[in-house]
Formats: sequence, structure tokens, C-alpha cells
Amino acid sequence: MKTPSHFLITIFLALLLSVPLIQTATEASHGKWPGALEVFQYWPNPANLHAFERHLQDDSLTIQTLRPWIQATQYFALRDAGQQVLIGKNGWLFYQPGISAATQRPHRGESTTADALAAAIHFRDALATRGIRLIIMPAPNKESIYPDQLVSCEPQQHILDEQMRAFLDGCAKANLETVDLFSVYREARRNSPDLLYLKQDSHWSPFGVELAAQAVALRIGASVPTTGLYGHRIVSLTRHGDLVHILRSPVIEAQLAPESITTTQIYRTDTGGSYTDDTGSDVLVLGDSFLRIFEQDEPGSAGFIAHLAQRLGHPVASIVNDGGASTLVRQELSRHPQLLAKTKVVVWEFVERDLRLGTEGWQMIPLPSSH
Amino acid sequence: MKSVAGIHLLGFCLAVFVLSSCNKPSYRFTNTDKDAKIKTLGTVEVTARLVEIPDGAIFQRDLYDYAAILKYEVVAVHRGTLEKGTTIYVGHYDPWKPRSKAADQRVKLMGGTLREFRSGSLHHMALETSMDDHYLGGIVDKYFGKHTGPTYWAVWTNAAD
Repeated sequence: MKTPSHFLITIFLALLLSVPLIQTATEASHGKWPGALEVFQYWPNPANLHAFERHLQDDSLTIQTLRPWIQATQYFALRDAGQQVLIGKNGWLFYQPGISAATQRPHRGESTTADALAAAIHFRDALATRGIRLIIMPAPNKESIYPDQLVSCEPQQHILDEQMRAFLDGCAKANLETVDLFSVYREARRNSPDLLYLKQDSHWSPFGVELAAQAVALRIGASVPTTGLYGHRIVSLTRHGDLVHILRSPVIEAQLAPESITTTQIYRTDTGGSYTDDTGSDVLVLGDSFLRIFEQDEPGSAGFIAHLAQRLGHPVASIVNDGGASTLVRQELSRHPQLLAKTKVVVWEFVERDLRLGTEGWQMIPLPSSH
Repeated sequence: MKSVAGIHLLGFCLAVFVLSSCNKPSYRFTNTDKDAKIKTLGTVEVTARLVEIPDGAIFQRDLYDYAAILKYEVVAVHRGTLEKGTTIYVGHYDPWKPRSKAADQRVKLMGGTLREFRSGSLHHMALETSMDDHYLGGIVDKYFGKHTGPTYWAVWTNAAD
């Protein structure tokens, strides 16, 4: 009776010991001291011990070798993509923190709708003292427009969560100008088979970009003249979305076919060159990665900014700050006062989830000095 | 996590004999002055002490990249016109990553031996000024509105403790 149990215990201990032995031998073969020794290098306070454990994990050859395969097994066999991504239907992926922000109670330190509203009013009032008009455009979370690709519900179902509803209501009461993309996209889903969001990405599709640019141009309306300065050309590309890259698994990436995307790139008809900003424009666009996609990313000049410029008939100025549209983008504006010199209209885009998760919250940021 | 650490320590004890037969190891926090890049990159080269890490300045951000502004006290000036004892503000790209893994498509020139930012530690840095001329992207600046003067951009950061 003892032999089998001893055998199993030996196998178990060998498995346990193999991890540090392999690690130590590998490090030694590269002429390095064992990473385990780092624990003696710093005072053993909680921060240093956490860092030590994190380094052990990051450097572990076993983890580096096995993790991609375990991740791939979880992804394809169990439909579990980890903490950051949720797997929807038909190849759709969703950004978990956005869903959590819409469905869970606020965590400590997260922003509130009241914070966002107060910052927006403060910004509008500060711009108004210089005769500048503010237009606010929340970009819907993907799951707000396509909940049917995540859970079982009607295909035309559309979610406007409590926080965003409260924000839009608050904007209306405070006479803040907004572009309601939730309504625009709801209408578009009824009338067009074209997708408004990319399946593998957290951002909107080229069609979603065009509708947003159209809606903002309409809102800016007659105050800006239009000319035939810009033309457009179709550029196709294939790429994995950010929700695939965030998994950091080469195995999953190799197994998932990249998404085929047809974009519309904007170019100047007089020079043939792709669209570029003009920092002296009377329209300034502030926002996050929704402005970056297709514009600064491939193929370039095919994102919201270029499409808005085309519809307005002249170039715009812009500040794009990934994940930082709540506060960081206004701080950056504060560091670049020249961008406001000729501005008549500021368009401020931010993603819906930033009502709760905006980096650095919704701080009151003073405008830069006009001198 | 604790069991992983324990296993590694035990493994270390069992593998001491392996180490004893190896060449002299190149310990990863050894003399940074041998690093040629720290001496050639940027326009300013200093050794400075990281004064503090404000709450929320450094955090892991999976979907987006960012830079954080950190406050330093200059301990020694190797290149440039700074003076010893000066307080400077330095932008570090994706500070939650080891410097050797921070470079990417957006910021191609970035590196160093520093593994992790710790309050009070000494860093040997090659810097550019000003940050705006070298980096366009998200900046987490806990000192926003609290300091004037240039913000430096860290191109190469080595541990100097």
C-alpha cells in the first residue's frame, strides 16, 4: 500500500521542485544570480515583497512557456479570455472593465456622473468666456450598442445605462450641447446591416466613424463653411483588434483570423496628400483612442478627425489621448495654449465607460492663459 | 504567490552547487557606468533620487500606453547644465514595465536596466528636454499645475543603487 502513495508523493514533490530548479539552472546558465535572491536585496515591506513575487512570476521560464498554451486552452475550450476580455457570440469580443462599469456598483475611487457633469459645465463655461462653443460627444461602449452579441436579447436591443442616461439628462438641464450617438447608432442598426463596431476591437468601425463625424458636422452646422478641399479613397486592411492584443497570447493570436476592415481615407484634392491637422483651425477636437483608430493607426487619415474635416471642408486641430479623455486631454490642452488661439468650436469626445473609469477622474482644469 | 516564492527559495538552496560551478555572474544591478547608451543618448545625463511615487501615478494599464511624471532630486550631473540638488520632473513611458521592455511601436527608443520604480531609489538617467518634443500621448501628471519649468523625458534609465 505504501509504494503507490510514495510514488505519487515523489512525483508531486518532483513537480513542485522542478519549477525552481529549472529556473535556477536556466538563470545560472545565463550567468545570472537566481532571481529568488532579490528578496534579500530590499527591506521586506509589503510593497517590496509584492514586487519580488511579481518579478518571480514575470521571469519564470515555466510560466512563460506554459501560460500561452493554458490561455489558449481556456480561450478555445472554455471560452474564458481572462479578466480583461469577454467572449461574445460570433467572434465578438468585449472589454470587461467597460461591462463591469455599466453593471456593477462603483468601486472606491471611481468617478461619478456628477463629477463628469461638473467638469463638463466648468469646461463649457471657461470656453464660453472666450467665445468658444463646446460640443460633447460620448462614444457608446460597444456592449451598449451590441448587447445581443454578448447576451441573449433582441437583435435591435440597445442599452443606455443609468449613469449615461443621468449624464445626458444632466447635460440637457445644464444646456450643454451634446451629440447623442446612442440614438444615431440605434437608428443605424435598424436601417443598415453594416457594423458600427469592430468585432475584435473595443472601438467603432469605419461605418461608426462616418456616422459620428456626420452627426458632429451637422451639430456644428451652418457656422462653418464647407468646400471641396477633400476627397476620399477606399483602403482595405486586415488586423487583429486591441481585444486580441490585450490577451498577450501568441497562440490565440495565431489561431484567430484577423478582422478584414474597409476604411475610407481622406486626402486633399489639391495635393493628393493624406489629411493632416491644422493647429490654427477654428475647430478643435479632443478625445481618446476612438479618435486615434484609423487616424493615427493604419491606414492613417481615415478616422473620426479626418472624416469630420472632410464634412466641414477644412482641417481641424486635435488632441488625442488614449484612455485620457476625461482629464488628461484637457491637461494637455492647458500645456498647448496656442491651440485655442483661433478656436470657435471644441468637440470633446470620451468613451462611455470613462464616466466611471476615466484616468485621473474628472478634474477641473483651468484653460491655458490666452496671452 | 507565497508558495511560488517558497518553492523558488527552496530550489535556490538545492541548486547552490550549480552556481558554484558557473562563471562569475553578471549581476543585474551592477555598475551602470559600463552602459554605453546611458552616456550617448539624450542631452542630459544625471544620477537622481526618486523622491516619491504619488498614489496612482504608476499602474498597470493593459489597453493603453501612458507616461507618468515623477519627481527627482539630482545627486550628480554627468552631462548637461543641471545643478546638483535641483528638483526635476521626469516623464517615464509605461512605468509599470521594466525599462528593458518599455519600448514599443510608439516609443522606439527607450530602455535601461531599471526593473521597477521604488520611492527613494537612485536612477542613472539619460534625458531629453522637453518631454513634449519627444513624446505625444497620454501623460499622468500628479504634479500638474504644481511645477513650472521643463519636464524631462527619460530615454534610458538604469538602476544606480
